[in-house]
Amino acid sequence: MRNKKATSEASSILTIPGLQSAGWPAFLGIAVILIGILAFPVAFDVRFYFVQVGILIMFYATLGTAWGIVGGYAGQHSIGQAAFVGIGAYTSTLLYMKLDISPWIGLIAGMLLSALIAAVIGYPLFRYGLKGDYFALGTVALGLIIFEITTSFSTITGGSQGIPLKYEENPLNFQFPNRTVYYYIIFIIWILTVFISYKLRRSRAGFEMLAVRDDEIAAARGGISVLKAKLTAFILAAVISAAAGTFFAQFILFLDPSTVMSLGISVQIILVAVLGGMNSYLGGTLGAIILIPVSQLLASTFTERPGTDIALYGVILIVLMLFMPNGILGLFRNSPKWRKIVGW
Amino acid sequence: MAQDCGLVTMASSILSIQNVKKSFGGLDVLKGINLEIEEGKITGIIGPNGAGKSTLFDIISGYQKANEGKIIFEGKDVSKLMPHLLARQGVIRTFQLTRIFRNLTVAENLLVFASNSKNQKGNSNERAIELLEFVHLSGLVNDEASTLSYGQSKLLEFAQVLMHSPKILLLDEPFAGINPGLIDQMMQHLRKLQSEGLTIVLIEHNLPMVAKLCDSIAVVTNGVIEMHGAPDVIVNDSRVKEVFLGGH
Repeated sequence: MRNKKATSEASSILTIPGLQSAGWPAFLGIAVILIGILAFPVAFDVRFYFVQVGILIMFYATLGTAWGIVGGYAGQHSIGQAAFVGIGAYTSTLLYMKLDISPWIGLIAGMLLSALIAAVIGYPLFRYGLKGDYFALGTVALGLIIFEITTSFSTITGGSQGIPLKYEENPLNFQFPNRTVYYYIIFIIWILTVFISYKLRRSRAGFEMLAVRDDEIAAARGGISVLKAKLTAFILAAVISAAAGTFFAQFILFLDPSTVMSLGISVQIILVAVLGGMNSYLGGTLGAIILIPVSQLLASTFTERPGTDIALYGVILIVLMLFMPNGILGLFRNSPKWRKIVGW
Repeated sequence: MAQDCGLVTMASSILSIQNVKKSFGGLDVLKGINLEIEEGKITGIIGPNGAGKSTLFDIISGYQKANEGKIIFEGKDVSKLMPHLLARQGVIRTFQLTRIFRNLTVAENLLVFASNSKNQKGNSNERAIELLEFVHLSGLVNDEASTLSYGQSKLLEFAQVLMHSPKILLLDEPFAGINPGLIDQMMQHLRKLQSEGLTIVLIEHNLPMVAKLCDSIAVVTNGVIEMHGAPDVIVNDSRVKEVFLGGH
């Protein structure tokens, strides 16, 4: 017998996750937060140091959100993600330095090259079933190989000595007289990344990634191409990481392998995503808001005792992971309403 | 060669299993399976543990490839197709050990399948609600699937595969872990699905239940189809009685 009450209740619930579950207060809250972020560098007389911290937060929020697509949605724990940051940074920088091509065009080229490399590397890894820890190790190898190639080809890349970028102040060269502009550029990249992650979570492609993450065999039984879902996530995360890499090179005006593609950066990206909650489109952002200021604060506090900051940082992370293994947003997974809002 | 036991000539075969052989290392699990599955009928596959029933399902649904032989579905050789492509053609299965998406909600578990079902466009929500009500899980739509009991997980998986609008449904021990009251309802629902044209193949150890539900039964022993025939003939066969009913 048809239970009308249950039907009505169920029909109101069978909706895909999204902010509409929270109603207008959520949209109002988001608007206030975004206006606050936009006004921060100009409305308050803040030192540029704090603007820089804001830039770093949004940079890592972008990378953490992108990693959440491949690591959180698709469940493929890529540990060499910084390789794609480096590909984006080096592509735009070398095109600019060697061929005088605008870094804006370099940004697109870096994204395309990253997509190509992610596809070429990802296809055999996924097609021939490299899963779990083995896939993670494969991506570590990818990161190390690209790091070593970049270091070795010093005549082109500058090797470990790095490349100082030529400074020709011109918006077409991605170089601005007021460095606060970089704050707004990374703001746009970050917002776009969160938006992509949010829309993806609500899309068929996103659903397929989640299914593959949970059970590949069951996903295939549902007509889902496991290979396509994994590869799409891997390429998408790579492309976004490359865009962030171009930005970072232009912002710091210097490029060497350790700055953009070290294993340490890959680990930082993963920590940001995992701490915030890698299953959520907001996880990378929340993780970066917490971890980046903490790491900056520790580094500046213990300047005379090198290593202390990293040790303390490690202790903080261990404590957080012990008590919140699914990240901060994972605490909301048991609330039907909040689960939808945070897109768990 | 399988012994035909009281079966009338096959009207139209939707699935044809032709001389399928499969070995793992030196162990021959399937030694040449030949079986015709008639469209719109319910076929039961029985046999002792380790006879190769689930391996046969794996091969039909593309999760494993046969060493020899062919799987013909709707007249086409689908032996080499990947599982997701077979699923899109309408070959859908359940597993002996339940497979659901444990980190998704109960509702999302169904909607994932709806996204790949051409027949469910536009009314996937209604279909999902109907199915959740049928399996008595409509009160748990927002619960994470990891919180379900084994029996509930089994029911969710059953609802999932129906969400897909299959042409042929392969059920691997569908009634294991389900309470008896619900088993009757599931059997009724399978009959209803059959009346709508769905072809069903099921592996089940409960012989009386298989006899009650199926139009024909195939007996697998030692990697071959030992017998294939009408339920009343199969259940009264002395060899089947020996294996399944302890000789009574």
